[in-house]
Amino acid sequence: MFTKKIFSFSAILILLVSLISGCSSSKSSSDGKVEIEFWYGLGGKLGKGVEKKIKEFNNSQNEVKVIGVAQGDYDETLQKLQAAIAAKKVPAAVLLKNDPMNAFAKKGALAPLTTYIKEDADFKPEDFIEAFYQQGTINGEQYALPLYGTTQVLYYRKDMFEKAGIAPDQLKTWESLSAAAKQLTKKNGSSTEVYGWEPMWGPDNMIDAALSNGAKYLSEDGKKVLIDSPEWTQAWEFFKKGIHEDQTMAIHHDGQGWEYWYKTIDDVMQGRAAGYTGSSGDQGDLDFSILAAYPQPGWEGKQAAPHAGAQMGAILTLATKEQKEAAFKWLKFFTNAENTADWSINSGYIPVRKSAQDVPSYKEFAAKNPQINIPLQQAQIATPPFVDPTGGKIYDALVKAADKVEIEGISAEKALKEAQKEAQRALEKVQK
Amino acid sequence: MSVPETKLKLIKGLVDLRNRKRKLSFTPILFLLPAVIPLTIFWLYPMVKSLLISFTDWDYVSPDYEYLGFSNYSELLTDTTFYSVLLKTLMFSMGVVIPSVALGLLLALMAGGKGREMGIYRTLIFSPWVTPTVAVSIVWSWIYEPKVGVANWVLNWFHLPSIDWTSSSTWAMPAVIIVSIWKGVGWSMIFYINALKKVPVSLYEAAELDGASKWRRLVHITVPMISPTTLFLIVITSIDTLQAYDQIQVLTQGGPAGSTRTILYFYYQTAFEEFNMGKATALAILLVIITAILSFIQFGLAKRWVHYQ
Amino acid sequence: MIKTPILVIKHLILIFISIMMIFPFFWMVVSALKTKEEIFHFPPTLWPEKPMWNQFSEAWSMAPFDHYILNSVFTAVIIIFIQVLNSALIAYAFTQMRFRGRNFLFSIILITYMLPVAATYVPSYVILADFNLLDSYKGLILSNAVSVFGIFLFRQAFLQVPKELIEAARVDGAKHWTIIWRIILPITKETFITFALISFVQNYNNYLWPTLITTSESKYLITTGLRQFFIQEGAYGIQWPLIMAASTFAVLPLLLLFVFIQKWIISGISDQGLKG
Repeated sequence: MFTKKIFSFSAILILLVSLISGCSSSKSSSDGKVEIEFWYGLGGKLGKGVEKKIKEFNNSQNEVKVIGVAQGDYDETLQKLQAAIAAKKVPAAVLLKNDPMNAFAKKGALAPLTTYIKEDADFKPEDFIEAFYQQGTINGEQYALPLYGTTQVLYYRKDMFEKAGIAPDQLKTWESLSAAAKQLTKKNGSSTEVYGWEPMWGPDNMIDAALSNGAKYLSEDGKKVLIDSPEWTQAWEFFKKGIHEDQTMAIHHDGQGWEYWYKTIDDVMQGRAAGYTGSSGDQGDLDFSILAAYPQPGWEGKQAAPHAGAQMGAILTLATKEQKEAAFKWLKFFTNAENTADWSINSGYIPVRKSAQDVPSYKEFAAKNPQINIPLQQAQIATPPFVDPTGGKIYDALVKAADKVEIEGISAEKALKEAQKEAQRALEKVQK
Repeated sequence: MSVPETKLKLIKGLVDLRNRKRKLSFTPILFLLPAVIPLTIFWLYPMVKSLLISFTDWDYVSPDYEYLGFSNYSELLTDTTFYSVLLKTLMFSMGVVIPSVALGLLLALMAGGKGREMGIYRTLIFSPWVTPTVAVSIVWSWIYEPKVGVANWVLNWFHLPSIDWTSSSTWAMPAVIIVSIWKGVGWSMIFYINALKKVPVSLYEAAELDGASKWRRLVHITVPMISPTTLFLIVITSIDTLQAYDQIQVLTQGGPAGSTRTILYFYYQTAFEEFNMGKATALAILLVIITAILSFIQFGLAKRWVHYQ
Repeated sequence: MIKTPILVIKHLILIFISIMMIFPFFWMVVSALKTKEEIFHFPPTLWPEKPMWNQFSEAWSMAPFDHYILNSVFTAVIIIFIQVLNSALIAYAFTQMRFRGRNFLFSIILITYMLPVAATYVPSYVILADFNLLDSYKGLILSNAVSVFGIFLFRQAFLQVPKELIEAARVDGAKHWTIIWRIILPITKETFITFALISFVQNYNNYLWPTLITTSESKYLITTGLRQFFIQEGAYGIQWPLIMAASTFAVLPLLLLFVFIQKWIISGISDQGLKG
């Protein structure tokens, strides 16, 4: 009897004691610094770049200490942030994509930065690249600052182009790019040894091509989804043909996180593809003794108009006043001319301030590495990010349609028609 | 049981409780609490909370919310997407449960014996279950590679045409099912080996004396004697597969073209990408109800064929 | 032993299946030994021309894997201890005791098993935050302190213990403790070991939840650490051999564990006290 009681009690005790004893210790820095967390979903060189900037910031002053917390990808950041807000234990600052940033801001989860900006004489908001800065402006309030800009550009192998006698200017339109890809593809029996071109998996590349073709997401009055218009279908069919009929193009898909992205890069670096469409941010991972960059093509007689957008840094409403001030200092540091220029040099992403181009190190770098200016050029003619009125349903319909076209080789017309129906239904639901 | 009848029983129970007070023992509570306390905190409370949120438009983020009644549920039940993911989930579940339970039994019968080599077989067969999905999925995506992957090499060897596997919306689901069976069959095997051991040897001896063939012994002694394990495996595997997410996320990310989007995939999307926690929790509750109905059916049918000692 | 044809066929089938089962794992190790170029070579080589054993030590030195594995093993062992104890106790109560609300309680437990874990993430996260247990071993352990599956498994096993044995012991005046220790434990020993193994593997491989509640590197479990390694060092596609080497580190402890433990799970048919 005695042993039995002890046995049961000890089991309960283990649980209770550890539950109670857990209520101690809260984080506070010993040297009087304000400690804040910065959450970001970046990997590889970008992740290391963020850590480097954090270290520089922490060493540059002794009021604030930033602790960087990396997540697997953007989605993981979102999930974790949602839980953190529910628990009221939030990081002070976070890196967000445009759509979730809008969603969080509208829900009141992000702190308005307008007063901090006004009170800070040397912040100079007018120096930011207008299109990027406006992404963070919602109903006249500034909710987030652009941390770095991004756009999709072309990367091609100089050696293969030279060998085939193709001038880089042939990348000026999609039509001539297609001809070049045909010429560059090497087949060995039924299998392809070298692909002429590799678009990146997902709808983004094809959306860009459609936009360059004059396509629009929504009608003027915002009541009709236009993603099955001829401008869309033509552009998308182009990729389907390249991948499935001509087999001059290929895509990598699936896998963990950014796996498909790196597989595509690897194909080009290893000489299994002559070029690919990738993010400006890939430049940090690429070897430009082999590759060169080129702006995205337009179509015969049409100007290119791909998307360019910025990843946003935001501050959480639930952070304390001290933490918010500290977080603003950190975001300001990250976006000052020297740092945004430095970030751009290391990653290839687009600097967010106009004055970055006057930073000596940037000037010097751009002279030696002309590819750094390609995304910057493109940003000036680019289409700003699409804010999806359905909270992502239109984009999701395009994601599914892109799979059908790119992976399964279903005709663009059929895939986009289905997508339009789904998106239209979602749009009508939110407008009701 | 009708409502008044339940009430009557409840009242009767309370009366009984008062009359039997001195006989009431503290002992069961001691046995229950160690599990019930964490269960309440980390399972029951979240479940009740999910149930409550499913009637609102709250998203864990906004400071305030509104009661919506059943509109989250009615929205789901009139949404074609819901039925398509439900169908996919059920197909996935069936596709995994039946082969992995049947194959598990077969392997247990073959590799359950004594001897060093049997131990090696068991270890090898069980090893997939041990491997973390994250690590092994990369290898599987190579195996499924349409042009140079091992899977198509094997098919071609048997003079069968190549399949696009995870690149085709027809074959992506079977591809995920194969990986799930591969990972789960060793698990069923272990349970069956355990169950087979418990079948009294005397029964076999008696049957052998009666001259029953090996096959008859299997059908008439082994299968009924291990039927509780079969029920257990079917119920547990069904529930697990209805909640499948990891292997799908890793192998196909719900694609291509949404062909492998299951209920949990839909849940993640609704909750963490669209921030529609109300609808997402309604979905979770519906999944619980669907699972409960299926389990209820399984238990009901089990009365006919499960044999407890 | 006489090798009848049937026996040979049986072995052939088992060998074939075993090879199929182990192939992806074998492939993982082989890939870790290949160079970056060879890994993409078609048709693939079954064994690298020149095995790069140093890639294992290279990967090992790039992240504190020993620390991650220790974290995982440490938390998993404590979790197993708690789960085995409380699952067995409640299962004993369910099968051998009569008390009010027994079936009701069991139904509730069954229903919680049907709730997808993902639906518990946010509420559980909030609770851990309230108790200041985020990013701590205590939080990892306590939030996994109960296994509904374990309760279900032990109940199932205890139900199959012959009633006559327990009745006989009761008549002899045995207490609950004696019944558990002397009758149930010896008969269901395999269930205890099997569950301990399953619980260990599940906790060791658990990814989403631990990643959600840990933020500092010193608290990372091997799965979170592995994923962080993929992201930070491996940059996914770039460093395949290192990724495969790191994955091997993660899997190896589990395989070794199973090799040692499987003897106890299936220890032969003879030692059952059931013939009565």
